[in-house]
Amino acid sequence: MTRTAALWLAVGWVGYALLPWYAIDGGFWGFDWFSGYPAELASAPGLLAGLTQGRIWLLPIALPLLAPVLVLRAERSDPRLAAVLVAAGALGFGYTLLQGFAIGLNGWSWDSFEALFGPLADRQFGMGYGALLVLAAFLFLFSHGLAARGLVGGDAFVVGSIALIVTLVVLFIFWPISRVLVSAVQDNAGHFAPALFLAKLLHHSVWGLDCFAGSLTCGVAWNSLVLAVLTGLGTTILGLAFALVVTRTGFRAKRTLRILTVLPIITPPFVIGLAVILLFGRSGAITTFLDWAIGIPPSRWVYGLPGVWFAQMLAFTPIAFLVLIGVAEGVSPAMEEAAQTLRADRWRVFTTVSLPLMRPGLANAFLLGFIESLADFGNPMVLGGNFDVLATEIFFAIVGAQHDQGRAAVLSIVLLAFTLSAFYAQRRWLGRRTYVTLTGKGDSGVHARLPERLTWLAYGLAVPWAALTAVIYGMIMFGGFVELWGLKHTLTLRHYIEAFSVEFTQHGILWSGAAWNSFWITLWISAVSAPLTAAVGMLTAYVLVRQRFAGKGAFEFGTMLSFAIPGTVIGVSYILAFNVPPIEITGTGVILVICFIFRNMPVGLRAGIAAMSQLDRSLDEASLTLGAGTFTTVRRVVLPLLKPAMVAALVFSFVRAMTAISAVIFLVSANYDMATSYIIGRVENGDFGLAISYSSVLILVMVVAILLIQAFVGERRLGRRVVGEMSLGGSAA
Amino acid sequence: MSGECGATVVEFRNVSKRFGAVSAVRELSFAIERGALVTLLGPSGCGKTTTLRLIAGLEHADSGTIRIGGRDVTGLSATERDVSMVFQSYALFPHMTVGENVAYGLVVGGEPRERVRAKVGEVLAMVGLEGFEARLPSELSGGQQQRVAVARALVLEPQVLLFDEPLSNLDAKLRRRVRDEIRELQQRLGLTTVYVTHDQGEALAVSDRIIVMKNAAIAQEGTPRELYERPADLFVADFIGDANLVAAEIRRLEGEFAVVDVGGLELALPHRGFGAGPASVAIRPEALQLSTAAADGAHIRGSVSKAAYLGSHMEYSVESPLGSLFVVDRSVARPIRAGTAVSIRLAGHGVTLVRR
Ligand SMILES: Nc1ncnc2c1ncn2[C@@H]1O[C@H](COP(=O)(O)OP(=O)(O)O)[C@@H](O)[C@H]1O
Ligand SMILES: [Mg+2]
Repeated sequence: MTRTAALWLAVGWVGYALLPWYAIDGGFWGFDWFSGYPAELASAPGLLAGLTQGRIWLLPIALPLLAPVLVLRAERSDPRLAAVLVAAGALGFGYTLLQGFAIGLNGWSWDSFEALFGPLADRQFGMGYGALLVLAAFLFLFSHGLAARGLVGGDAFVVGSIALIVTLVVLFIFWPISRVLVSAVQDNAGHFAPALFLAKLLHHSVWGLDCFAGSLTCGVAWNSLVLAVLTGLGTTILGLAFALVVTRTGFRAKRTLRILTVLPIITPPFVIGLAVILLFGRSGAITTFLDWAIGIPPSRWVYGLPGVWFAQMLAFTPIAFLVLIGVAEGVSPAMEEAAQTLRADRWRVFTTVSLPLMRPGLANAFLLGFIESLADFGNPMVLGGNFDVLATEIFFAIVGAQHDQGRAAVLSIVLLAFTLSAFYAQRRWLGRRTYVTLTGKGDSGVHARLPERLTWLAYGLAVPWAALTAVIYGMIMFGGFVELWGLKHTLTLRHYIEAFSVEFTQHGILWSGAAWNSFWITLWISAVSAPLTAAVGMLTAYVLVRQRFAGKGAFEFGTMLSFAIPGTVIGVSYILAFNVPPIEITGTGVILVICFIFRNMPVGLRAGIAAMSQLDRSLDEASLTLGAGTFTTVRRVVLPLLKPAMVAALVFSFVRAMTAISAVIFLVSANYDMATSYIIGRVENGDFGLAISYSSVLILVMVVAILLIQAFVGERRLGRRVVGEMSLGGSAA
Repeated sequence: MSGECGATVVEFRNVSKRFGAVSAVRELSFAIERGALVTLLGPSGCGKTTTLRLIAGLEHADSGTIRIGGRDVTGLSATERDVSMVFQSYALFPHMTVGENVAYGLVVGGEPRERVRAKVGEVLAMVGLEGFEARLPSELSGGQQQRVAVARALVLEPQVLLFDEPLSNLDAKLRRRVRDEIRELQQRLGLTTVYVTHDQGEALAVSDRIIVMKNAAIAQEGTPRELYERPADLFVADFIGDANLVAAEIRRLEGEFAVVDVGGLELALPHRGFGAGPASVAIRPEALQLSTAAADGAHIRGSVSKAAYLGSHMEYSVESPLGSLFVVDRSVARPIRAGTAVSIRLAGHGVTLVRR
């Protein structure tokens, strides 16, 4: 047996015989369990709980932990070693999970087991350190066994990575989502109720079309769909206007426009909605001005479809811009020049060459806007009024007066069906084409200028919009210093003091501001989850780009899937899946960290895949032939060369953890409140001042964090000539 | 097929490797003896790189066995094999200095630091790069980068050293020098070496033995002289040097020899296992001798259709009853002009019976 395999076996024994089997009350980082250890059940190791506490179902776990001991001395090429490791790993892993799922808080979890084995008086709680280590040990023993059989070139590190990623994705994406599907077809008592499911699915409130008949509102599904189509169209058109201005006109302030692309990344999505209220709400700045100047009376028009759409356009246009600028630059100038030499005028060059070549990019931008709009929770929450969409309806079905999990699940399925269809369409139809680089080496030409008419149209769209965005951000920064928006415009620091006051007492610093609690938690959770997200993303990217194995396509699809699952659905699914044993983590910080890892992993994955595809494969291979193992190769050769991608992944996952709201709002608890959910709560109470000052602090913190991450990870050293380029690329991130 | 045992370092037995529907290597068997430089030669896509990567452990055989130094390594990964490789792109780690690159294998192998430093200095001196330790690869010329790659591979004293088209990234002038340096180093250190190239001139110059590959299999193996003088078939004859393929008739066998009729000329050639009947011969371009004077003795009549002056020699295309012939003539002083009638004679060497 290899040393690593033996090490994992030892880890398994430590988990089984030494560490507490069940989750500790104090949380993952709690260490007050030593007092009762090991005799009390709450902190007893699995072996002891089995022997002395009547948890006899934990005893069989010893067998698959003993079997590998017998082959400890076997040669690596001995087929018996592989067989024993594979069997012990698979059986041990399967059995440990099975007993966890089968026996819960009320004895047997499933009636069929009760019928088979008779009633069970004992119960068990969520798994803890011990079970975690034992499961990990079984998983890696299993993959060592597969590697010994020659799978993926006999590389235990790669097999182990694949096994780990697959397990995590199944456990934290597929399993929760399947819980949503199951609970959709159950009534609230947990019985199978297909009729109820159909009734809820086809309910009037979902698909009703009353808005055409009278003043009533339409079903939430239609609302979501219409909003998503409008947002997709609007952001694509605006994004195209920006992209054309930057790439095909002589516009001067191109850098300023580029900064726009960074803003929405560091802005919690609902903050835009907040600013829209401050501008266009009943007592908003512009509303008041219009009333005073031309006598348009204040109205509540922003609360509803127009307002939500407006806010989403502001929030998601930069994403479309980001996609389309790549596409607009990617169209080979040589083609435009060719058309020009064939006597086409500017208008014809644009309509017959440039635009058709951008078509895949346009569709891609539309679908991204469509998916983002469907998944957006913050803006409809802040601005929706009576205009309900799926994302918010799901939330109210769970936390509102209805408290109808089944309805939440059904709505989740509808929302999921929408986003997955869009995701699927995007991948099937365009996914590959967006990666084709249209420029070759010989392309040193310049892009054709836009035709006159179009130039003015693009300016007309882009410039006012950019100005509006600037005003909105000015509003966000300024709004926190105003006493009471719309009523009392005296400048004040009151909101900042209320949120972030610090007192220096004789006992030390007292963080007396109202926001500190959620602020520190947010920082802490984001700081923990960012490196984990980046690590999982990079590892997955390495496996996908560098290794060949059966089922790779399905593997990639599974890992990218969470990208298309709206946060609200993830939130619901985590509540359904993780508030009962064996994985009982609701109300802890762990569930937030895990949620962020799997929601944000696709971003790190994309960055990693793109960067790794550019890295010559022979670098890894040179390292391997020089006697370094795969792990050493990744650590010493691959990762140092992937620093820019690492920065991108770290920044993205950190920032997205700080700005996320839709899934978070289900998962926060009294002990673990996050900044965004705290702010939303303040908004609901009409406390805009504090909400907006907190938001601007968050944005500043993120800017600082981005700079820190860049400084900390550093730049890769590739020789004098290259460093200059690198630092440029770095500052753009 | 396999060579003499005893000092065999690398041995392939019926090794096959497929990529999806493509057979990259089919039922390959060969042996490489200690201290020899063996070249894998063949056109692009014939499976040379795949064979090399199978030795290195970067690809794994679908079937067959691979032995290195007498040990079965078929299932071992690249990390576990005692083999080093010089990559086509050199694959120098761009974020490490020359010294760190060369030291890499020793460091990850856990050698003590003093020994690492000593060995790195020693090996860099061997390739003529002492004092370059602190440079980054991007600060070296192509030829120097190549030498760093060789040094990095040598420092581990591997049982087998692999080269994948090591000269392809160098300009034409540098190629010959680097080629000779590699050969000189290999002979001085007695390294067992496998060398991949698609350039026959390079292969003839550096090899102790050449394995010619075609369509994922071995076409012929032997010393450079054997391959040039006794190609097994037209493919080998044409790939190593040029050759005219001409239809012939074997009249009878006389001991070692076959009496062959080539367009009316009678020649005695080693029979190489062929029997009487229709046959093919490969004729080297320099084995055809042209003359404009009225010839006596056996000859074929033809006429020059193209003539080209290449500095060191003349190249002619000659129309003849045997078909269009390609001829190389060293006597540049008296060129023959296109359109001239010539008599063609066969030299005593450079003509072989081959399979079609
Ligand atoms: N990783 C791979 N995936 C698919 N096909 C491959 C791969 N590597 C090589 N091949 C195919 O195997 C054949 C032999 O390739 P190779 O060994 O690189 O040839 P050579 O080095 O002689 O040019 C080619 O047809 C090539 O397309
Ligand atoms: Mg090759």
